[in-house]
Amino acid sequence: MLHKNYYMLGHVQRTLSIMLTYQCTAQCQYCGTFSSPNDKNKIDLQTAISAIDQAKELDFGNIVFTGGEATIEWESLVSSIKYAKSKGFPVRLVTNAHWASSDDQANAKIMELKAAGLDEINYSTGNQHIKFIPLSNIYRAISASLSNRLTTVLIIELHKNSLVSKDKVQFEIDRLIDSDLIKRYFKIIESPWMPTNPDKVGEYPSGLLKNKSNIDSCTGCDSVLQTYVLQGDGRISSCCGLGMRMIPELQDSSATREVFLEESIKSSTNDWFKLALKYIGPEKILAWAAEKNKNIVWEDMYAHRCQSCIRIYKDREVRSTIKEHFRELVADLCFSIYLDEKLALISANR
Amino acid sequence: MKSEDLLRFQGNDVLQKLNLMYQDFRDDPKTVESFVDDPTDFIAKRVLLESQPNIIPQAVSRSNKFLFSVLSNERFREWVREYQDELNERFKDPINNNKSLGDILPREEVIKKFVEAMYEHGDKDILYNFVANIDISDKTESEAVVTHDVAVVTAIAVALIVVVTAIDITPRTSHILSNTMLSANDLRSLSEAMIKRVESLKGPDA
Repeated sequence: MLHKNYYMLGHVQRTLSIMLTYQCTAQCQYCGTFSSPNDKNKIDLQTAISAIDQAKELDFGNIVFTGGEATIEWESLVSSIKYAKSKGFPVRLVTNAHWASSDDQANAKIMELKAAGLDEINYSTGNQHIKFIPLSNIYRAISASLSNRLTTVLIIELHKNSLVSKDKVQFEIDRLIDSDLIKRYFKIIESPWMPTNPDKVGEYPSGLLKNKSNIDSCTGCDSVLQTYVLQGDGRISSCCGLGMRMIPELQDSSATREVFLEESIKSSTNDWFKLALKYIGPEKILAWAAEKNKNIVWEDMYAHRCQSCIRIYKDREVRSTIKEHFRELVADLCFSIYLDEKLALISANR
Repeated sequence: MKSEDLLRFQGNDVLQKLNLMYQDFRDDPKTVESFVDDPTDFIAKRVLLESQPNIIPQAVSRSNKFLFSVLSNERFREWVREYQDELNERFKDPINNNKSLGDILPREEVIKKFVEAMYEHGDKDILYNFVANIDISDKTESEAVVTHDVAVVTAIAVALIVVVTAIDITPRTSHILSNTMLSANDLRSLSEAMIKRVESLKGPDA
């Protein structure tokens, strides 16, 4: 068992994310995991089971299956969900609903997933996804999951010119499905669709790009050191962020090791910079680096925090500036962690 | 990439050392004060545990100092609990069933109440110094902070977008609301926005 000192913030439980495969039925531009039909990397069922066992031993809070498109590995997925559920974990699946090509198919798949123990399903759609999976699949999938009383979250890509909008989808769902089911089980989230290249500026609705006028609203990263990912190629990372696969610093272990999750936690929580990402956040670190080095330009470039993070890790000038000045941040970082711990305790004591 | 090129600052038993320090903070509030006053030596000896002949002077930001003063105040914590309970009751009230979120919980109200409470229960010296140059002749200091300059309210509104957006897309349950209202990140943003904006109102020479 991991020593209790590897937990912080009132022992908030971690999440294990399992990418059964990197393969996907879609090939979206700027896919955050670089998945595609051609990437055949996948892990075997035994590795997924081992990860779940380790997560149980380490007191993780929940299991998420994502990808790639996890449903491509249907047998492994269903078996893994059953196993995770047998260990007492809440289980969530992220999918593009490619399998919902008819009402009957959608319903059969959802019933099997629900019977295996799935607690929540998340669907992804938007300008990129609909090039490969029609919106009608999404509606059928939502209808099936809500009819089966499965908590359902739709995540929509947010672009300046979004072809799929929250209002449009909500209107259609309201027309198709009982309002009580919608109220109890359904939620829509819009998330900026970001280029994985930090030099490219995405097109978003106004107000989303970060600059000095809105940087105060940026918070610490809730992914790093919180979600640990068993990737389709067997690497373990301490973050589930977009583009994570291309950042060597976020790769903390490998499934070839015996206790890979514990190893990953120990390695990542001893990295002061990941603590800074968690408690200060990538946007503010980038803005801080720009104060130290006027050559660093960041304003009005990023709407999604993962793109700011990629910039930090991939831009030579930003990296060297951070390396030079990081010690100046340590005192405030330590105090930030302490204050967040106090806030979490206040919240927990309610 | 060579390992020395990686953007990592690898320590040993970092969380253990931090937890030990925080344990001291909890046991002896004076330890916190000495840390906040001069964190350099403290950090070097207690956390980095290295000899640091050329250690860079380190500081605790004003927003963290302010947040600390607020959080250390039992009256503020009690106010937050009471305000959350009040909001929960409002959401549960059948009279509000068909009202929009904005009608039940105007953002301006949340902002105003939080700022007032943070002012009321935070470190007045820190904040009062910031607002000293603002005309508050016919208002209390907290009213001045809240209402006298649109920039302050606007900045805090930005910080609270997270809060209100989160409420917007979630069911109206007390569980969600309480989590949302007391998010560590949100309060941190609020504190930072507040300090930064009030500082900017003063101007560099004030």
